Amino acid sequence: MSNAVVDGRFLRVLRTPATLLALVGWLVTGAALVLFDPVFGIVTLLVALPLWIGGLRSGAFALTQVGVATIAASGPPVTIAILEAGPIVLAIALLAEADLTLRASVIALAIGGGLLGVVIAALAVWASVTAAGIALVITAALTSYLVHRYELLTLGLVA
Amino acid sequence: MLAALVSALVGLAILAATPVYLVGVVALVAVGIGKQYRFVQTARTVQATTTITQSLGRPRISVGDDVELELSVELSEPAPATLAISPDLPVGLGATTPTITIDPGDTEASERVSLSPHVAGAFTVKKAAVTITTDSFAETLRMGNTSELIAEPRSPRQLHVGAGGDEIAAAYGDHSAERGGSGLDPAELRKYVPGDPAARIDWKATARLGETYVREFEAQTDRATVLVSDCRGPLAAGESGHRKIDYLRDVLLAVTAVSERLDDPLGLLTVDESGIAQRVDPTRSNTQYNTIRTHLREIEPTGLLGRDDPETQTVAQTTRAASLLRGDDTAFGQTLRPYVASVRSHVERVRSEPLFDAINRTSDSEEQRLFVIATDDSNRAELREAVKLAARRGNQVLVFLTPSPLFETYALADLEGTYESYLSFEQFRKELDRAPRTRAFEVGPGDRIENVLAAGRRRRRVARE
Repeated sequence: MSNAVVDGRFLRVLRTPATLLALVGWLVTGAALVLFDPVFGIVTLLVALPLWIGGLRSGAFALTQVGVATIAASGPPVTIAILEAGPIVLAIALLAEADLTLRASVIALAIGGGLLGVVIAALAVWASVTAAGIALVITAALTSYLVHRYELLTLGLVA
Repeated sequence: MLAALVSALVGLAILAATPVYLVGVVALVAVGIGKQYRFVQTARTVQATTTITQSLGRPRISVGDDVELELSVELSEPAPATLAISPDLPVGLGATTPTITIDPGDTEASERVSLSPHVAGAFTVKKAAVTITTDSFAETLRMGNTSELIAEPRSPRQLHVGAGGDEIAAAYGDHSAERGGSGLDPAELRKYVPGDPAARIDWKATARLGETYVREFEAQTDRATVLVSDCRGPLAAGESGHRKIDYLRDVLLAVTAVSERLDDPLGLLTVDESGIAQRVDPTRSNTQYNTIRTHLREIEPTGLLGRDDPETQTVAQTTRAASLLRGDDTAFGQTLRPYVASVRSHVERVRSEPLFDAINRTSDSEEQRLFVIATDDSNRAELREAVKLAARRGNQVLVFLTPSPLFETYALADLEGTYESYLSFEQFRKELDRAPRTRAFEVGPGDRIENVLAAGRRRRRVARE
């Protein structure tokens, strides 16, 4: 490893609190993934980690979630909960890194909770992943539109 | 990017029938909406903390001159996002729109841009566009003040308004009521006659003179003034900035100022080759005076420079010629008779002319009006009839005429020839001036009129010697 990498980018990335939080997420996810499926876990991390460092944070998160979901699909709820701990910490790191205020973070977490409720409710009612996915996308689009309307009204761009 | 990932995860969830993928969708969407809300907060902060000032070096300039617009941006706290600020410059100011970029953390910036209007008129620099950009969102707000720039046409130098080479001293456009009344300006004392209201008795004069006197006051009038601006091709004659229309425009702007001072209702009629180009009915308001000023600054001659206009005869001349030729059976008489046989055709010919037609459409108002006609002498027959028509029903007419000979390219090269043509013009002007309730004035470059008249005086002196 060259000095430039050691002294420069890699260490700089590690210094920020959001990145440290993300690192915890990676450790949890990595450990869990390696525990359940070592080859799959290592491959997932080897692809996701450079994505995260390279700036494609949401891409790295999505890939990790794919890894978790692939392994946890047939597992019991406890397994899913253990594996999801990593992505949840990564999501919080994403929020922190976006320089969100406390209020914005709370709103984002509340929206996340609400959307999760929509997914669970849709699964309970229709027992269909397709229906849950559609309900989730519609609810997310509607919420984003409402925030946009709030933006226009707040900034006086519409009467 | 985020939308693609969300779609991919939803697709995987549906294909694999595994709801755990949707947990990732929930997390990504929550992060996205959180960022969106954060952006709204950032935009509100920018709106509250940013002051944008747009100031012009001068509010009024002449066409072709330069003026600087200074755009300054100041933030009371460091910029929370990248801001790109550009003024909203109207078309015709001859400037490319600059953009000031303020990076996060900066608090001020300014930029100057040189404006040089190509055409006359009022230009409004609207509120500046402020574009707030973050990594995922962008929004454009309108902020700051608006500025108005008036570009005035280049005024001709040595504007001469007069008659027979003599400049008039009185302000054109003034008009008296020509009747006594109860206005504000004292006019005269006269003896009391039964029926006069007691309130009008001038007690001081009564005591001084020993008889009862009443004081008359000059009545205030609010006679509507209609400016009639001829914008046809021949009005473009002359050098740039010194065309007939440029001289007449100055006169009409002066009349507008007088009307505004007298609080007279003012209207405008512009006439081009096809007839009435613009019609602003007379009313009395600051907006109206400004609207008319704007229209006057923007008028430009249209159509061909030359006009196929022989010095046609008046209706009376035509009628007289027809009666003289009625009994003339010579070859001469028979040849000429068809040209003067129909008075009706003469009137119809004039009636179809745009200026006559325009006045015909507006002179039938119930209330008396003052028509201020600004044109040249290139279509004398039409103007003669138009003035007669305008002066009907007690209307008053002021005619401002630019002598065509003074605007010809050979005007200064052949001063004697120009003088001859000017004499013909002067004769025509006098003819109009003699018409009832009509005053006619010449408008043109004072130095040229002086030169032409000097050439005439030289010729007379030589002839005497």
